[in-house]
Amino acid sequence: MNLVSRPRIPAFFAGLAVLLGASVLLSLALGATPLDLLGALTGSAPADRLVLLHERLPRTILAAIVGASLSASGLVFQAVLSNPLADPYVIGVAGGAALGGTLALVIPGIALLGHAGVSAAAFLGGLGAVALTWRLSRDRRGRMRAYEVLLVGVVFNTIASAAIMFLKSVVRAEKAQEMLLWLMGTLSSDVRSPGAILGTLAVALFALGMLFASAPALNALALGEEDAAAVGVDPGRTTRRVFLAGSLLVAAAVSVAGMIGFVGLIVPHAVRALVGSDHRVTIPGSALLGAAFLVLADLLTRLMFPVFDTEAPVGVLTALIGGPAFIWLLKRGGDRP
Amino acid sequence: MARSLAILLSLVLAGACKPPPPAAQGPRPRIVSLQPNATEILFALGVGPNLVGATRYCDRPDAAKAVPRVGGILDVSLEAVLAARPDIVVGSPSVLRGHLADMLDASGVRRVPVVFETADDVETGIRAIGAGVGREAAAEALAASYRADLAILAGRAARTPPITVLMVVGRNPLVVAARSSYLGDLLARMGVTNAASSDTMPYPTWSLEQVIRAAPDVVVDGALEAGDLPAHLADAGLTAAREGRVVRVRDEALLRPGPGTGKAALDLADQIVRAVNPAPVPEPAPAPP
Repeated sequence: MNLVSRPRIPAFFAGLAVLLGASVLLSLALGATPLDLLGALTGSAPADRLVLLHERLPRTILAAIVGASLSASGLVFQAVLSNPLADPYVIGVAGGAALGGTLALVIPGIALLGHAGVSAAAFLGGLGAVALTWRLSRDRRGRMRAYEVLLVGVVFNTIASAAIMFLKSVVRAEKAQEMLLWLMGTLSSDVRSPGAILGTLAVALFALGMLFASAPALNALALGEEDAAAVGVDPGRTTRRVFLAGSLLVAAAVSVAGMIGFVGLIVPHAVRALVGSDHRVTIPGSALLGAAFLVLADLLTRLMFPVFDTEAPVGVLTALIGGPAFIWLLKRGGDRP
Repeated sequence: MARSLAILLSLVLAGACKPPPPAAQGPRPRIVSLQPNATEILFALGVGPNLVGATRYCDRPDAAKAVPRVGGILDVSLEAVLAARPDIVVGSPSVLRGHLADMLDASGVRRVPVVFETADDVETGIRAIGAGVGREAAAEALAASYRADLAILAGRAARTPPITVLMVVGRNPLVVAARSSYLGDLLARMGVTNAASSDTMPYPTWSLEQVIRAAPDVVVDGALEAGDLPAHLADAGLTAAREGRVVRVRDEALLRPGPGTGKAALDLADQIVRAVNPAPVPEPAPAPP
């Protein structure tokens, strides 16, 4: 039984839009230190203006993009793999992106490029891993086998994790610490330039558009491959398109924020619990709720600064919030992908 | 701990020879330090009161604990740094780069990057920080004191018998200071042979097997975490540990390149020699005028 009935779907979206808007405003107004908002806007407080426009604003936008990307990709991976535990990282993209980013951190030539090199390497690593997983998971007729995707993804992630551990053990201590921070998932990185943010936004919007366009086909596929084919849906084509779009979203998110866990698992489950499994609703719903969730989680890490003298990586916080919330949803029952 | 702090205080005071002169008149520059040893140097230069931000690891001298925090060494909060309204930010080049550097430049904040990877870097770093905060004379005095300590160390090194030393800086896993590290450089200046001769990794992780094979005459325990290293190494059969030749770094100033490093190095060199030969090493007679 859904908590939001069909006629109330527009109100559901309006509520999510308000939540996201409020989260963004809070994230801009609050932070690790007090900010003279009026002075920042009028320019009478130049340092505050710098913090608002060059730190909080890009960081908030980035959090929204990453949250939306992870949530929407988690939703569709759970659908096409028919597995409620499938999250954006399960298909190997996480391992590939993490390995790519880690190599970029330790290889001197790429490390000189700074965060741009890490982002690019993580993005390519993620896509490479998905391509490999895809290739290894097809049957003789070229169709994807869901359980093999999961198995290959899990094994690939394990191999990548081992490789990262090896790299961590052979680099200098400060480099190992830098790797650890990046792997835990953080939005306090060097990704602040308009070009980097617009590039990530463009990839995310393109991939979200692809997913939304596939929503009717995904709904048909949920009834079974034969039924989907009967209404003119090509299961193989739909799955390929969804995988490509989902992978683009995850690779883009990991490339700018590292490995932020649980967003892609908990948000889709929450949205399905609220509005059911119609992908025309759940895909944009997950994107909006995921964006708001990560913006608020990142704000929380910044608000915790005066207590701990550090901003905890947001990935740690999303896991600490998301874990118990996921168990609560699981015990509550009624949610099926 | 209290003992090591007491030793530290006496060494720092002795190292400075005399209290640094008060800061110059006029508007005092507001300084943020993103490196614990830089914070210690800034206090030794007499500009501790100018510090408006430091990392959460900046705990020496005691007054540094009262400085507002702006994050850790790698996890610096840009917001907190800018909120401190600094004129000068001191830190490692690997931190003072990227977005943080861009924002500091846009705010007109002067960056003072300092590197401490060799024993010579201590002198260079003190001078760079002194020049960065307008305390050149105080920095010169501090650098001269450190240089003098190194000269005494070099004199003693010439008379040090052949000793192979392994310096442990982490217990679990066992991390050692190799020749290419800052601590390895200090060991070399003590005239001892470093059992960890790697030139590629400054602080490699070693297995017990490697420690036993290296068979150092003396093990230096510089690890900050708790644990009984001598007993652990003695259980493993290491002769130096069984015969009580594991010396503990008494002064943490050795581990933080700064004003007390020279004195701490002299102290450790003395401990190493005494571990092998408990009879005190006579100082050479002063040269006739």
